[in-house]
Order: sequence, then C-alpha cells, then structure tokens
Amino acid sequence: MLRCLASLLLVFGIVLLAQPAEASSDFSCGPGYTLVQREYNGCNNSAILGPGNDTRANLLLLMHDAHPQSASRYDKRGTALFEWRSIRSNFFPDPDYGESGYPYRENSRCGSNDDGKAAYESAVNSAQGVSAEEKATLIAIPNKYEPECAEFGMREVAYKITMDGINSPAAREFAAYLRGAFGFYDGDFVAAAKDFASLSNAKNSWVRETALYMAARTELNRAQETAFDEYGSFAGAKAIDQSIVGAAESGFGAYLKTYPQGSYAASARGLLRRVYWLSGNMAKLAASYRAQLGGTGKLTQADLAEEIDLKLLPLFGNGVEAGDPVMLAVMDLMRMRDFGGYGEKRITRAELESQRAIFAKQPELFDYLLAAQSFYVDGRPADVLKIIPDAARQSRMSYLQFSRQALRGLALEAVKDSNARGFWQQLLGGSALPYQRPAVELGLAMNMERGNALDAIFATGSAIEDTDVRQILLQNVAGPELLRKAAVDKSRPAHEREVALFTLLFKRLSQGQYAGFVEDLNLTPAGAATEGWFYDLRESEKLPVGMFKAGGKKGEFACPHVKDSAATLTKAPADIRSRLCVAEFLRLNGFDNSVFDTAPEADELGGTKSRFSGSAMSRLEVYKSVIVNTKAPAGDRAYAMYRAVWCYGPSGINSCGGKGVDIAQRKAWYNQLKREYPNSEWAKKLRYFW
Amino acid sequence: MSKVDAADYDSFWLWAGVRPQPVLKQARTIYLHYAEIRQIDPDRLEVLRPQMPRLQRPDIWLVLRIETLRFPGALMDRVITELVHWRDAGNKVAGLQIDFDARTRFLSKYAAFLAKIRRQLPKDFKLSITGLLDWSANGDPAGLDDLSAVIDEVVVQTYQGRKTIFGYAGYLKQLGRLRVPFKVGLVQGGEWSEPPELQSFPQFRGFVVFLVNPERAD
Repeated sequence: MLRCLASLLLVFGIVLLAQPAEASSDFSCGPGYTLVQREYNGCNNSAILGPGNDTRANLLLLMHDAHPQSASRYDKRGTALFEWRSIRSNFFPDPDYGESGYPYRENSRCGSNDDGKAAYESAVNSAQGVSAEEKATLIAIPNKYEPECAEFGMREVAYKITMDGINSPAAREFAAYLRGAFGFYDGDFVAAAKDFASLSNAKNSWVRETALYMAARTELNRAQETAFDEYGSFAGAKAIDQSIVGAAESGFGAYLKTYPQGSYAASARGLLRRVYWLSGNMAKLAASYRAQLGGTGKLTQADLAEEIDLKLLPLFGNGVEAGDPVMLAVMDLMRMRDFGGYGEKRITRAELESQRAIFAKQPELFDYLLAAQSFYVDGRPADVLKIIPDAARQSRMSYLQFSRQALRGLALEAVKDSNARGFWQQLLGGSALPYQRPAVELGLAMNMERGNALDAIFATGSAIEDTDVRQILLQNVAGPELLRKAAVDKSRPAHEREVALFTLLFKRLSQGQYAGFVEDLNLTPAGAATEGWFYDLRESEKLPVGMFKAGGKKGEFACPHVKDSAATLTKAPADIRSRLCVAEFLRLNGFDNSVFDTAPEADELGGTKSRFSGSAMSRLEVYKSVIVNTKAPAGDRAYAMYRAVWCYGPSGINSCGGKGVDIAQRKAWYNQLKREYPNSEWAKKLRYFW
Repeated sequence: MSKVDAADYDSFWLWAGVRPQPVLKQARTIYLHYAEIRQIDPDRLEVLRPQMPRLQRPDIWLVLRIETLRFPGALMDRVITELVHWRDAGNKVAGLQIDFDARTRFLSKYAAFLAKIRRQLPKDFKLSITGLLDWSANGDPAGLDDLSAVIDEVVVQTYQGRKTIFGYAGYLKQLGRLRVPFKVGLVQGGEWSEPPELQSFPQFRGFVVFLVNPERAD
C-alpha cells in the first residue's frame, strides 16, 4: 500500500499541497520537484499521465476526459505535484462529517444497520393490515437490539420476542423479515436465508423487495465466511465455495431483473462486482467496470478509480485481460515505472505494439503510450518528438492532450532543444483544467532556472505564478538581490515574502554578509512572528522572520543582540566573541541540521548552483579557530572547547558542519578544557565527550 | 553484513497488502495492521484488514497507523470496539500499537496525545508505539520521560521502506536513554548487524521484523 515515510535526518519535507496545511503536521512525503517522475511514491502525481502517477490518478484523469466533472469549489488551479487524496477531494469533496466521523462504511455487514432501520420503520408505519399495537411492537424490537455482530444466540431471543402479540398475516411478514435480519447480523446465514426465501411471495411490497435483496446478500456473506485467512487477510478465490457465490450472483441478478430501479439497485450492482471478484470472474468484473466507466453507474469517478485500482488492476497479467483501453493504458503506464532493481519487468515497445488493436478507437492514447515508453523506459526522447506532433497552441486541452504536449516538452528538454522554453510558454495558454497550468509553470521555471533567466521568473508579469515553485527557488537558489525584492513584493502572498526574507536573513548571517544582514533587518515587517518551527519553509504556517530582528533565544554564554555581533564583524571580521555569538544564535534558534543544509538534486527544481554563493558558517570551524588561538580570551576559548566537544553530543554525530574530527580529537579538547581552564564554568559543566 | 532472515525471529508486523508467510506460524507476537487515519481525511477510519483475525497462540497487537493527531474521538471508539471484538473472538490481544512518525522535537506533544489514548483504552489492553531512531539520540529528556510514563513499549524502527537506515548503529547505542521497554524493528531482507551492546540494555525486549512481499523476479 502507499507508505510515504517521514524522513529521518532530513527535515526537508513537503506535506499537503492542495489543502491549507495545519500547523505542525508531522507527516511528510517528499517528492523531488520535477515533472519527470519515474518512480511511484504516492506524493508525486501530476496532470501528466505517467508512471510516477498513482494508478488511481491516471484512471481519474482519463475518466475525467471521457466524462468531465465540474472541478469543485476547492481549488481550480491545483498544484504541480499532488497526492491522490488531494485530487480526489478536489474533484469530489467529502461533506463535513463533524465530530462523529465518517459513517461506518459497508466493509462489514454490521455497518449497514442504521439506514436499514429507518427504512424498516417507515415501511411498518405505512403497512396495510397491521394494527397499531403490532406496529408498536414491531418497531420496538430492533430498537432494543444493537447488533454487535459477535454475540451468538440473539436469534432465539428475538424469535420469542417477535411472536408475542404478532397475529395478523401482514405483521407476521414483518416478523419473519426481522428474524431473517437478526440472523443475518448474527452470522447465522443458513437460517436467515430460509427466512428471506419464505418471503418471496410476501404481500407487502417493501418486505418482498427487501427480502429478495437480503437473500442475495446473505449468500454473499455466507460465501465470504471462508474467504479470509486466520490473519484477516483475503485468502483468494480458491478459498471460497463457488456454488454459494453462484447463488449470490443469481440472487442479485434476480433482484435487478425484478427491480431494475429498485431501492437497492445501486447496492446490488456494487455487490455484484464483489461477487465477480470473489469468484475470480475477472471478465465479468472488467465488464462491469467498463459499464461504470461508460457513465451508467452512480459511483463517483473517484470511488470507481479506487475500486478498480484495488480489485481489478492487481489481477491483470495473471490470465486476465483488461480489454478496455483506459484500464489497459493505466496498467501499461504502471509498467513503465523505474523499480530500481526490484525485478519488475518493464513494458517493451514490442509488447505495446501487440496491443494496438485494443486501442483502435483511441489512437492518440495509444501513440501517447508508445511515446511514454520511449521516454521513460527506452530512454529515447527523440522518438517522442517523432510520434507526437506539436500542438501546444490550443485554447483548452483534455488531460490526454495535455499529457501528449507536456511529454513533448520534457523530450525537448532532454535533447536540449533551444525551442523548449518557447514551447512551454505556448502550452500555458491552453492549460485550463486543474493541475495543468502549475505543471507547465514547473517545466518552464526549470528551463529558466537553467537558462540564466532566474530573475525573469520573478519579474513583474512573469508567467510563473505557482507559489510552491517560486518558494523552492527562493529558498534554494535565489541570490540576495532577488530575495530582497521578493521579501517586499506586495503582489505576492505573504508566505512567499516570508520565505524570501527568512532565507535572506539566514543566508546573510550564515555566509558572513554582515553589513547586508544588518541592513536587511529593516525589511522585517511589523508584527512578524519571532518564534516558530521551520522544518519545511513552505509548510510552516508562520515563519519566524521576526526572530532575527528580535534577537532570538538567549543562552548561557553572554552575547549581545545578534545584530550587534554582526555590526562588529563588519568592522572586525576576526572578532572572537562576535563570531562565537553568531554561532550561538544559529545554535540556539534551530539552524543546526536545518532545512538549509540540504539542496534539491541537480535534475530538480532549485537544483542549480545557488546564486547566494558564499559558504555557510560552520560552528565547528569557528570553535577550532578559537581553540588554536592561544591569545584568545580565556572565557571565549574555554567556551569554544566546550562547544566543540558538544558538537558531537549526545549521539556521537557532528551537528556543527565543517570538517569532522575523530573521537581522539574530541577527547583531546575535553582534556584540554579541564587542564587549561579548570575553574571555568564550562570545564565544570562538561562531564562527557562523545 | 548480513540480511534479516525472518526465520530467525518470532515477532512480526503483518501490514495490509503483505501476504501472510509461513514464518508467521512460529510467531509469538504479531502486530497486525488494521486501519489508518490519514492527514487529508482525518474524519475517516480507513479499515484495511477486511476481517478480524482468528489466532490462538500468538499475542496480537492491533496496529493503527495515523498521520495526524487531530481526529474525532469517535474513531478511537471504533478502534477500541474492534480490539474488544478481536478478543471476544478468541484472539490473545495484547493491546493497541500506534504507528505515527512523530517529530523528535514534538515528543511532549505526542506524549500528551498518547496520555489521552491511554485513558480511553480499557485497562487490560497495553499501549505500544513505533519510534524513530532519532528520538533516542536527539529527543529531549523531558519529552522521552513523558512518553515513558504512558506507554508500555516502543518499537524503534531501523528501516525506511525496504531498506535499513544508514548509520543505525550510532543511534542504537543511545537506546540506553530510553526508560521504557523497547524492541528493535527490522525489515525483512534488510541489512543488519546486531550491535554488541544491545542485549545489555536492561529495557531491551527483542526484535520485531516487518515482513515484506517477496520481490517479483521475472
């Protein structure tokens, strides 16, 4: 299943992209920010049909092309990369369930009792030939009974109860129904089946219809009894009694024949799909999905995508044919994934060619698959340009059309075609559907970043509007002048300004641009947060940009305000106390092993050389330089030794950057501190070395 | 450097989607992945195990994976109901394990959340959590103590995906700082060389192996 794992040492993580993030989300899923996604990790879906996409996302995009849904109230623009759940809730938002949580789903038969009860009561109340006392009795019984689904023997009790005071034939029908229902929830399927079967000619129409439906459900549940192993996992079709499944299939078929628009028709169709799955009848299962894909069903496209993904797709290739171009395309894309040596055989051109007939009605989809295979598997981007003609200039594109052109763009980049940038710009115009435009902006931004046009990305009127794209660039590659501009750009969201300013002030300080640091403090807006976490600049709700101007946390080593240390260093760059105090600021305020210590890969957005081109201060190097300086004041030198040892505490791993030293050196510093400054508070405090 | 062979161990995680392996028959403890509460859908309990287990011998833990600490209390009620059902069906249910990747700096906040769970959980079920290697090295002592007060065990995970985390040995050295019983989680097929001092930590309680589906070789 999907498992995006928290990164351990790295704190560079990306969380939700489409919904506003809550403060301090602890879960991170970090896609590399690029349109070329060769592996599946659950967080890197894009509007481009491809191997990196979740199969459900690919399915949903293709289904949307066939039957466009109105993109919801949430986010028509979307983001360049997203999780399945984001696009799912974007197109099909769930209602707000409040404190009680999402209602029990029909994964077990016990979940369906609430709805059934309401319908039952309504039917009883409107029944002919049932006295008022009988109605009261019939309604009281289920209210006393909450099926735990684990208690046995309820049936006997219910039987006694129901027969008291139930005399009229009409009331007895309801009583028999109740017996069946209790048996069903009890797990006594054989008895329940008898009760329901006895109602096949019931006079009351609600009882007759419901019993016919419940009879089939009973068989289905009876079939499932042996379907799960001792761990609760599905044991497969071979573990099931196929004659019972067959009875369930006939039962649902009979129901749908008699009540094609009946109250339980949608449920019956859904359960028929489960029957096909249980019986291993993939041909029928695929056919029913095709019918749903054709738009005749009530399932949302998202639910359908999930169900197909869960139930049908894993079975292809084991003697099961997809037969349907959409499902086959999704499988083919999955087989283009780069598994990095896990042994999965990736799809070949020859195999794709053998599928041509299935795509007879969808030649553009087929061509896209050929092109994608050339790009992702065979590594022949030039073939993409031969297979897919340029059609970037459109007013509106389906996801397939968009994918075809976007793949062209990626191929142009791969062959270093000088027209790539112009191509992306043309593609912007027709990128109207959700998630399309941000994807193009990502492609264009990467091109410009590598093409000496970083400043143009941030110029007025720039086509690059996606704030994630801009923030990644600001954080990783923007130089001081660009950051200064971006820090005050009122036309951009506040958070983007915060990212710019935070990055600017940190890098100024860390890279020793002290005059610039002092001056840029003036860009701090009034009311800026002075505290807060910044594991992921893009995700923190309120970046503590005010931290620098306010001075940050204080430690035990006496330091002035960090701006004073910086001011001193502009005039006297070797000043020991000031250097130690800048190091203190970085240490106390969370800059060890911070997000700034990592950079995107070279083939990702923000992966080029930073235009903030100095080298970051290493606390360890500062301490080393003070330690070797025998003329340094005693208090400073002792503290430097103390801190140098602590760089490796408590894990034995250096958290101060710079060039590491071996444990013998740490021990030597420890001894030196004790020996040379025995009365200093630092020597007294230092009890270990690591 | 050798690879983890599940047959050498007797405690396992069985995750949703992982097919049961014969080695489970020798299990003394099984951590069964039951459901998830996801960040983007915090109102929904995503049940991933279609049926409850029916096992006589091993101790079973019901594992709930969560991606957020903010979800309706009713969802925890359902999990507890399921725990009781499992036990009523004859399983030896040891308790509930929460699988959550808590940031090392937020251990106190996580401990407060777990204290709430502990109060809700019936007394005869234990509370276990998975843990990150990083906690023992960089977790602040107060946060670790807060955690220790509410949980019965932590299983420290040495892997991500199918791979053992690089440099695990350095972190495991620090596990002596944990004041709560702990186990070490390994991944089937991952690289592993047992650090010599591990068995000497008084709180060490053994290993748990995360089973993975065999890779398809074609």
